[in-house]
Amino acid sequence: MAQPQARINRRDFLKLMGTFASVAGASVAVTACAPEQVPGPDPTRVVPPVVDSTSVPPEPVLPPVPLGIIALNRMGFGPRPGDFDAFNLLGGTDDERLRAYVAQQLNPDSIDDSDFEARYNAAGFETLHKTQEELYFDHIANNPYDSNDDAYWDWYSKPAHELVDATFLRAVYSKKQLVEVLADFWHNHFNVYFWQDDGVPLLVSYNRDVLRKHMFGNFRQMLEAIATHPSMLYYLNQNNSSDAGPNENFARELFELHTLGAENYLGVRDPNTVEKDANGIAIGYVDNAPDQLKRVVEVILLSPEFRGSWGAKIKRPIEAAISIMRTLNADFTRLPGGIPWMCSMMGQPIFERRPPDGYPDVKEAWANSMSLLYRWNFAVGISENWMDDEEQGRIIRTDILGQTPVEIRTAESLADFWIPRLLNRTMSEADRQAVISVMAQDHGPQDELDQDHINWVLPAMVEVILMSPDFQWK
Amino acid sequence: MPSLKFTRRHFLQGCSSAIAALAGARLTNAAFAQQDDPTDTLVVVFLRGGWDALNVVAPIAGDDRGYYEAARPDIKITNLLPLNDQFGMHPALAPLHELYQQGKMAAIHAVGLNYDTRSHFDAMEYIELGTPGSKSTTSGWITRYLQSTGTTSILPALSTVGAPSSLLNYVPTVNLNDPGDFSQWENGLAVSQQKALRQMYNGETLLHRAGLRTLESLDIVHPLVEQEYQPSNGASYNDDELSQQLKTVARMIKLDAGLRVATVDYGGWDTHEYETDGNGGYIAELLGNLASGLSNFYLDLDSGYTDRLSVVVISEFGRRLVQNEDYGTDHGHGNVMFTLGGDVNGGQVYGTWPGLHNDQLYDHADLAITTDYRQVLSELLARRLRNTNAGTIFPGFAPSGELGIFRS
Repeated sequence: MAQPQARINRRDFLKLMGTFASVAGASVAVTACAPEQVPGPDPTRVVPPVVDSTSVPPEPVLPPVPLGIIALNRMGFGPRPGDFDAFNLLGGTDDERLRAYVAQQLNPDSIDDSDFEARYNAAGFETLHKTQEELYFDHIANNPYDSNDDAYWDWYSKPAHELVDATFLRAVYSKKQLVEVLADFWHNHFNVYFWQDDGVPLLVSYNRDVLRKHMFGNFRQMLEAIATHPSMLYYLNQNNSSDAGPNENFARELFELHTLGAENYLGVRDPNTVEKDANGIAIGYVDNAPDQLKRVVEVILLSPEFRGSWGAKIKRPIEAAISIMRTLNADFTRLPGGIPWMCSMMGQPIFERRPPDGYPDVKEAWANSMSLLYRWNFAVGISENWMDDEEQGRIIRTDILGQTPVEIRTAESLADFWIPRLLNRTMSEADRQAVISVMAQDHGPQDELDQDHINWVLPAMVEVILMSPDFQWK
Repeated sequence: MPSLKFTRRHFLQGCSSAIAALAGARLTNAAFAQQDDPTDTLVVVFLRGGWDALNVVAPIAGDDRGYYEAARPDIKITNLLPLNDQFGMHPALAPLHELYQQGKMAAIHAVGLNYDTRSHFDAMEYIELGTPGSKSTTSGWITRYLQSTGTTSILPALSTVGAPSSLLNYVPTVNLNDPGDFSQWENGLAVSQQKALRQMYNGETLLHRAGLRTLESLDIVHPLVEQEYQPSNGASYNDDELSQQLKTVARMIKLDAGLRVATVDYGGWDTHEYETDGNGGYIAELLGNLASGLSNFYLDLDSGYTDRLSVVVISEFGRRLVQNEDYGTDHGHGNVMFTLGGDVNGGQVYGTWPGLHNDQLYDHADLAITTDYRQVLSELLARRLRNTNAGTIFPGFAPSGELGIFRS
């Protein structure tokens, strides 16, 4: 097909995909597409969560936090040491600082990322440079190993596993944080499943040639790239079967879910005003704005809603894990397998969401016992240096003691050093006392602690700060 | 005392005063004194992969036996354990056959997801979300059930494998395969850390409440990690995945911590190739594990817990009538479900049998569905879970009459 973008607009394009949905009219499409077999009203949108109003009190509003904390936790995976101070140096007012930071992050090519690049090169990824065709021929069509051997499956899944490693590496070390947040956002928005039959290695291309390529580009072009990429096609075909034809319906659902929802993701809780702007831009510039999505993101990030509603969400598991590694200045080059495994235990194995809706970004989805417990365990595992994968030679190191000035020797002063270091703000006095008592154990809060005590207890105190509610908000 | 026979209106209302009156007597059961509610613990065993209903409960007589044998010359099951004049159970299910004969187990045939899909993924999602035809529902059917109860129990829901879609977005779910999984990693100072966390999570937000619940759950589960579990009544769990999950569920039920629902998964039923070896082979092994696991689970809990236990065994779809060229069966439609429990009207096969003549098959290929799976679950909700919210739990579905699978 020659230059399809010259001939079809997005509406036609979606028709081709079997739906009449438009960005604004998605709910109409659902009704129109309701399967005939289901009697009565379409159930899709009439399922209000049945919540007993007596058991769910209204959420208390959290105390406000500096804008830098909001920006670094929503436009990125949380601050590394120094990031918060650097943000505050970007201007004289919140508005100036935010505008400068957004401008910087929206122009990633202008950011010096050489430290990350050196680390990426040192990681020595073998497959991530391959084109879509090379991925297909090298790892699918011409896999040199016997399919009865583990080596076959190792080679087959190697590109996708390298993508997982690289995704964590980028999120932890790259200064182009907004790029990483948007890559994660778009993957969840146009979700494909890691282990779909036949196409696992092509995930590398989907991530690079579709999501990353178009994240600051044109939405319609992105949609087209998505809908023609084999990763999405395999995913669509997942429910294809010999004689039933439900995959048309699947496409409908997929695109119904795929309306532009970035504003909500980036933390704008009540997007009514923004949505109009954002979707207005999205529709208005459909055919002629090459940087349409960049403009949409900018509108969202500079909206008043972006700065409000701190704590409307909690970090999702992957965000929590990455933010812990960032704030602790954890050191790794090749990711130990335990890190993505822990994210699975928290309920978010990366790229492994099966339903087309992507991982949820509401706190209700993650505020559950198992997820929280393994979030806490992750803080322990990283701080205690228990996460190494020695068999693979993949090491992750966190030097908490080395990041603590030697002259700080009381429980109180150690808490008062590490609380702002990890949170960039204070805790409530009661929570601060709880941190101090972990550090003190059976000593007084102002007793000078001996080195053995500090060596033994300091990581546990740091862990408690990372386990606290204050560290989970975004 | 009102009659045990209920009108349809009563049934649809679910928790009528009559049912409530009956329930009152049971509250004195000491074993459940700590529960916040007298209803059953529901255990949903999901057999992933689409089990071959027609080799699980097969026709033993009449024309349908003839159609069955003709369609499955190499994989038909013989020496079935009779359930009635019409059907027999795979011989590997002998322990369940015993429960059936004791009236503790029932089968529902030609049941399932009445929606045209042969995709495992779609069928499982539709069933577990409780909204056939829509995968964008934001909660599972069990989520909506539990939310409608307003339960404040510490351990309302347990999933032994990951987070099934039936519990989608149900916050208090605890996922644990083994009690040992639910532990705080011990750095020697975990007790001190938990004390601090109790302070920090003592707040009103959803996150705070979830954190406190996590700490409470740790307190409950922690003692189990240390102990060797002794099942009751000489029950003996095998080492297979299903039995171990059921053992965990039994332990958690016996904690009397208000467990309302447990979900258990058992995979491997996608029998496209070499399904049987006579009455043995691959499917016999799966069925043997299923029967052993469930019968030992029942025996273990028949120590004061089975009159508050309802088990449902479900799979996403049945399989084709005709065997394929690889001595297996491909994805089909109509299915069979099992229910177990102290108040199951057991010893019966429920449902309307559509027949296996070519004209009676769905798409001329598969067992037709005459009973929607939601019918079974709606009866369970009304009779055993005393819940009146079937309309929101299964939106758009209206039960048609009552098969009478459960007693109140």
